[in-house]
Amino acid sequence: MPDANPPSTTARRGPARLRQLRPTPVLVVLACATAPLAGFVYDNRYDLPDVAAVTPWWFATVAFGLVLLAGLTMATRRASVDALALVAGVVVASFYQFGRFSGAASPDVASLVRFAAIVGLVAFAVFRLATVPTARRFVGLLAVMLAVVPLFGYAAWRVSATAQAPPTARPSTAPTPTVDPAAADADVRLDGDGADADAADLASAGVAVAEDVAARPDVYVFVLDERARGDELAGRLGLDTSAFEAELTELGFSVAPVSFAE
Amino acid sequence: MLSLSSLFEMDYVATAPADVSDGLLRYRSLLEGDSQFVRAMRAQGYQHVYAHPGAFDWLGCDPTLADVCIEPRTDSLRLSEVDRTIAEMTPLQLLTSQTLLPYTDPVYVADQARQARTDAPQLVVGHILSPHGPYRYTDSCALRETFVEAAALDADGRKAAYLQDVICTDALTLQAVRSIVLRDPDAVIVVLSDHGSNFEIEGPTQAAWTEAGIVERFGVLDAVRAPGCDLPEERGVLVNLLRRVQACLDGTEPDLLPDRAFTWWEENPLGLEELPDAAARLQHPQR
Repeated sequence: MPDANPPSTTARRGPARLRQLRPTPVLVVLACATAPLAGFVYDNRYDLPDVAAVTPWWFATVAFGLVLLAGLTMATRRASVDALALVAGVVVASFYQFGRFSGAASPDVASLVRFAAIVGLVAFAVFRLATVPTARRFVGLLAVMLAVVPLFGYAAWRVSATAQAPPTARPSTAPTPTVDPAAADADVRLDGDGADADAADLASAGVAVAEDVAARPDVYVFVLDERARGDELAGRLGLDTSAFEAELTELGFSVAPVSFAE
Repeated sequence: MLSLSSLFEMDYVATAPADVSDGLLRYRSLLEGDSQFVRAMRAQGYQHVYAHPGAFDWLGCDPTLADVCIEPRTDSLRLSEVDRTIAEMTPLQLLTSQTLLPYTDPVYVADQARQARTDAPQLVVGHILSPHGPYRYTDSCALRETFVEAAALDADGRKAAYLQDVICTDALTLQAVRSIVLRDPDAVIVVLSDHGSNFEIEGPTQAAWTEAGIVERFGVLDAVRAPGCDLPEERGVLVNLLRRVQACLDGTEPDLLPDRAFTWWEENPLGLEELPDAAARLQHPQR
């Protein structure tokens, strides 16, 4: 691949330099902006409800990368635009690596400064490396691969999973509720501030309640996510919850000591 | 997710990798109310009151499946799970780490359900995220200024934060239960967990799980208050729990499924595999 944007010996700084922006450097920035988000989509394919939720991040990252490339291009005179594209690509791709960098530590401004310094060093190294055409092509190709491979992986999984998926999650024999269709208008939403629910809405909008039903007891189901069994808490984690279980028993509960999830 | 789906569906929803080949989101409607248990209760005239945990994009409250949606509390900017997760990959986490996830607790759910009461009996389902991370309670069971993600803690810190949240969530559960029983002595109350903790190392296939890790992960809280019903102390697998409750309400004998359990890994659901001899291994573990 010939160098599409050789350094000019007569170029000046400023908007005129933008004429040197060709598809290749733009593609490199596009790839570097896409790669981390494509990886995110692939890694979370099993529980990502809507890929579209990622697109605002992608647009913002691409825009940031292109603005950065344009800014670097205008701010320099002799630097190859292809090399500047790699610098811009390193910056936008690194943006999504801060979480890995900060790791278990609580993030603070100091860690951000350290991170920025490392990204700066890497960007400088890539810029220097990009003076070698073969290295520049290799890094550019790598960026494209990092973007394309997870996207293809996601698409292939989507096609394969759709083909293998069972037709329905729920048997069609489930009973139909006797709630009047008009009840859909009566649904009540309680917001987090504890606003009063207009409970009368439900009744007035036609929720069918059989007369003998009113005598049935209320049923409460509280799911405490990831709460371990008492014997495991005591034996493995050193927390005695027998007082909790005893009080539940006093309140009329039957506490099963050795139940298990499916 | 599969555990809760099976609980409310009162059946094993996924017994082979093909059942999860397109991901797990197909089961979310079971949690939101399109399940055998909730449909049967609504068919009997119950008002379905649903409180979702608030932390997951894939799990909310569908007004066609619940008569009343209890929205979680939030004291700050509400970000979607995707936005929050991506932001945490970037320097923006300096800002998002200062915001609280929406949250609920049993006392809040019981209070909100009471406000929505009609003449119909209520089926109140409250999915409380705690003691699952992010950890939210201080030593005095007040809310932390910012919740702490499990990934931000080392092993000892995570264990301590988890146990603190167990203590506080247990206390809030007792507070909610006491107030319900005081107000309504006939109320049927089920307090359970969907799975246990995972401090033992687990792996993407069953072979990579330790025996201790299996028992820790599968052992669940299972407490039922059903006045007038005689429930056995050893109830086995959770999939039969609501079958027992329903039979109790109907005055019939429960039609129980055999005890089974399945291992799977969130990043590799296709590795779903049945756990041999589940009942023996999980009810009477060798220590």
